[in-house]
Amino acid sequence: MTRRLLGRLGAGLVVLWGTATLVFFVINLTPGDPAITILGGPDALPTPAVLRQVRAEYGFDQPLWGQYLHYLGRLLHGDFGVSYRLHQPVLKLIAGQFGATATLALWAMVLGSGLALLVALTTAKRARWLTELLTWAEVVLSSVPSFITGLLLLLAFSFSLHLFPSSSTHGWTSIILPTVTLALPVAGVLIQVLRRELEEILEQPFIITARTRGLSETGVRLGHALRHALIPTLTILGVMFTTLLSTAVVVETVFNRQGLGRMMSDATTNRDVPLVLGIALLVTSINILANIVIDFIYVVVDPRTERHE
Amino acid sequence: MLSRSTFLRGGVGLTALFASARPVLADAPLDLPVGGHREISPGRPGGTLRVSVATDIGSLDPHALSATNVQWIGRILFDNLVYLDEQGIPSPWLAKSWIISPDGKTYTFSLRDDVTFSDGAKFNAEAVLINLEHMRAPATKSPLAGTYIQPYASGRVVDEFTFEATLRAAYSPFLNVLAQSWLAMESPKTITECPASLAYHPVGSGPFILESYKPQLGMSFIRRPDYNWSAPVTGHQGAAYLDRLEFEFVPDASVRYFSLASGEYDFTTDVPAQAAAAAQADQALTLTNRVRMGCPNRAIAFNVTKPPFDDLRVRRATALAMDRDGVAEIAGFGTYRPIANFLSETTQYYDASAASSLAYDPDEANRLFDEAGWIGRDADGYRNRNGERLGAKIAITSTLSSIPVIVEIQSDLRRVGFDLQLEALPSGQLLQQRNAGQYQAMSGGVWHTNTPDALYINYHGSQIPGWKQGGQNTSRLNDPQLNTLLEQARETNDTGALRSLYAQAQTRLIELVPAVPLYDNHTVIAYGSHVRGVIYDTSHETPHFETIWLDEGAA
Amino acid sequence: MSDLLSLSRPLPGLPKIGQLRSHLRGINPGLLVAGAYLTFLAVATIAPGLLASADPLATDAHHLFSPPSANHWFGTDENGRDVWSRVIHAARPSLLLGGAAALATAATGALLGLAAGLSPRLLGNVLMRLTDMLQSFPEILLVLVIISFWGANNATLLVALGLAGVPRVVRQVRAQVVTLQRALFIEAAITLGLPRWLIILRHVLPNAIKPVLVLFPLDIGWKITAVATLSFLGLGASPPAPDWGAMLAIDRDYVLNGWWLTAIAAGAITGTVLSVNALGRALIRRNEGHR
Repeated sequence: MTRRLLGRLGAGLVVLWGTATLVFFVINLTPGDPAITILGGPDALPTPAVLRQVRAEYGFDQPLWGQYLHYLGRLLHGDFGVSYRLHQPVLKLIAGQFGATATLALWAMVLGSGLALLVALTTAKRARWLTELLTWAEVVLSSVPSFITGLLLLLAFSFSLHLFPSSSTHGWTSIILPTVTLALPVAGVLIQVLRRELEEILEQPFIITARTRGLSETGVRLGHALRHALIPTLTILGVMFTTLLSTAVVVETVFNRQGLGRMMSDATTNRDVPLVLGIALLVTSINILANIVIDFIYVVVDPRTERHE
Repeated sequence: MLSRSTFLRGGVGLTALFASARPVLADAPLDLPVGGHREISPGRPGGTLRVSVATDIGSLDPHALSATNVQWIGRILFDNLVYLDEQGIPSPWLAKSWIISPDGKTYTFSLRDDVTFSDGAKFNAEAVLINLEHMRAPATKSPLAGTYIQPYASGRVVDEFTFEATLRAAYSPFLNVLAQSWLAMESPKTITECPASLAYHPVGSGPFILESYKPQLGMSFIRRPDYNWSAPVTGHQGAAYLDRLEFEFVPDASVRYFSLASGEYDFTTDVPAQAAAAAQADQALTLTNRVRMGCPNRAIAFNVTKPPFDDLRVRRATALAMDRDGVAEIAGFGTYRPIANFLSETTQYYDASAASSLAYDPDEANRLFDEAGWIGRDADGYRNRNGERLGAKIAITSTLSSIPVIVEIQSDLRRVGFDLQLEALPSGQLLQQRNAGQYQAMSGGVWHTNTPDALYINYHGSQIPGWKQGGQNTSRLNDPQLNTLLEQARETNDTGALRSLYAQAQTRLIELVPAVPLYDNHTVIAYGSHVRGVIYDTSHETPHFETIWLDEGAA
Repeated sequence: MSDLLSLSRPLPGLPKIGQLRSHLRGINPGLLVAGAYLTFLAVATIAPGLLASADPLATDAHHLFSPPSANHWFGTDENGRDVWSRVIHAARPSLLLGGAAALATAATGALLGLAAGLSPRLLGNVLMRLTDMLQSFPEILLVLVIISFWGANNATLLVALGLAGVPRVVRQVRAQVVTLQRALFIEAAITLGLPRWLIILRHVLPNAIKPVLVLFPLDIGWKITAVATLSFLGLGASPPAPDWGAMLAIDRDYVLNGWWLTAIAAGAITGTVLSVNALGRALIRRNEGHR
């Protein structure tokens, strides 16, 4: 077990290095003048001396391989560099924003799975019309693009009805709409999966036994079915976490929230290379770790699971 | 949050927004105020002002920035040597008076002796010397301040409150640029001991002190109680009235307007044009719309060294084909004033006489294209000559706000048979093209500065952007006649000569048409009606915050 | 999101109307609507001029933000252009790019998966590590980086969107190949003396790519969403070409002046994705047998 874990971590490091290298070269091989970006973009009016200074300080006059090796060297020391545009250490900037995105993603997962569990538990194996209605709801929820739900929620509840603040800094009230937006696709997928699972489970012999012993419908669902429904929920949530981070980019843009997503979006638009690399590495690391964790949950929870890897 | 009044307001809002299928509001009438630079009557102390701002600039060291925000942030934290008066003439501030030598190369400043920085350092001639050195030091990497004082050769501390600046050559914009926020006076102690900290712990002599700065989130300032040296032109005495200023960064234009209207903020410095009419109609809000000095917004800068725009007739025809009023309407929703000159009206030595020859005239445009040989038409209706279509590629950045403008221009040009192709490029490639001169036209471009030397910056032959130096002359114009006029204007301080030289320069530019001026460079702000005492900076037309006070009775 | 569905059991189909006429085998009302909408979009893609006579590029600076009327069924936009025409003409780039990207993902993923499964161990491992690298990078960020640095033209969009789903396909195909290689009928074919390449072509290939084909329609839905999201973030097609996502992005700033523009663009995108997904699920159900 430990050896497998170490093996996976080792593989993860290789992947991380590969990603860093790939992204570094992809973005540095495109044309552009990072010196002017650092100085503020096309509105900057630096003297030739200032331009020379920036180029020397940041090593832009060196060949690309040299810059890459320097970059790797600094990475190994934990130095992720300084943002071109925000003039602050990349690690500090990312640490500052990470909390916002993680909070949003976690709340979205909680809300989404809570909603899904509630709906699935109460509606599995009930009236036909309810099933049909819910199937439609599932399709809609998991199909509608997040930025559209977000935009519509923002326009309706914030701009028109003034029920929620439109700016993103008013404490817990500001997080409600983005959380709902992000939670809806989670709920959409989970409801589908959970209802299938529950309907199967509710036909199992042990459930019938419980019912004949006099346990109420609620008791059956909560007591027995729920436990069995949790496993697929957890695995799906694990996989969804990384997708959630992707979707958070868009939701943060729509709601103007702070977070890694917005920062990444701004950094790529502004060619803020150190920041792009920093965020890319961070998110990749999280992804790798999450995948390892999911795989181990799979194995631990259900040893029968055959792994194709 | 969910009170009855919220529901009521919400209900009304929802109904208004969805009930009728008509556009909700008509355009704002163009109402450009004059004056507003002087405090009329004193205010009441106390209160916190909550302000929403569009973007964070990532640093608070004005010497190291060229961003627009510095125009008003500068006045919160810092003071300058001079301040323009209401006629645009440099007048005393931290410098009480000055003498300019007859050859224009030596400036001797007499400084105030009662000014201190918030870290206790004294303001004196030594401080001025240190500041000027900081601006032009390569280590500061100044993208603006250093360039504006390039002719400055050396400085000398004559005595504690007398400073002598020696220039390499006479430079008429010198005093004007010293009035701009980017050239503010920072604490010499901090510059000497810890210059890197200036970005996050700026120390100035201004009416407020930085309390906290959270990048991308916001900043807050508190009043400096012993402040007593506002620029005399403003008429303000003593310290600021407000206790605190709270700024938050709100990038989305609609959110800035809605959150102001709902009372989440008291003040916003960046009102989106499309919300101006709504803000004006709202009784609880005050909207002001002011024009900045410098070069107005250009639709297109032609690369005059490459076809098709190396042909003056083609440039002229393209300029005449643009419906300036229509474009100003699309961009500004009635808040932008169309202008057909290369300097904005409020800039010193603006000359109105040559403006009308660039007015919208599609018939003349067609005639000029014919004269230039583009008589044929191809299957799509575009003009051609010897099988080659009349057209150009223009690179645009991917920011969405400027798109309707360039789309309208493309449409105007299509009507006269010119094919303008839009190319959305990532900013890196755009910069590359810009430096290498590999473009036929560049979109946009506006330059704000408080002196007509803006023409030098935008159109002088030495200001062409390249790898070795930054530059704003994206037209790549290098006209000897214009160059001489602008150089001579830099080297004289005689008002009669300046008026004549700049008038000739503006006329020459209208003749050469290196770019197409469209509308003025506006600054539109809005605030609640309980906010009083807002006056505007004479250099930048941005608000001053030390004169603002809150009238709680009207809230 | 489509890769999540591969984890779950066979998908529920859409509800049917009861047996009105037995020979109709129960038509889902939703599917009818989806089918009709997609047919409409197909016409819009192939021959937009049939549905909209106005020029989607013709501006009119004096009639901005006109509400819907007889002249302009959806009103006019921020440049005075006819919105109905723009919505119709925007179908082609969205659908074609979405479809092409889905095809690119499927083809690339299948090829790589086959290669990974059939190669000698070392090469196979290398390919899988490369796949891991691609998969560890969140899809939207990958697309963002490529588009922001290389520009947004059809080529880069295709590459960026196509790459995004490849790891999932590679894994699926490789897993199938590995399983198949142990299957009895393959052994039988080898025993019969059939050449390896023929076995691969006739037996391995068709079975290996079955899961890819099955999820292909749903992937189109995801790709169309991605195209719209990119345009919304300002990274899509160049103006002034009509594009749903770009329309949504620009119109969102003009809520005060013409709120219906946002609703129309949102409706176009949502309707398309919903219809594609609905039809995709129906196809999958049909393929896996009724439940």
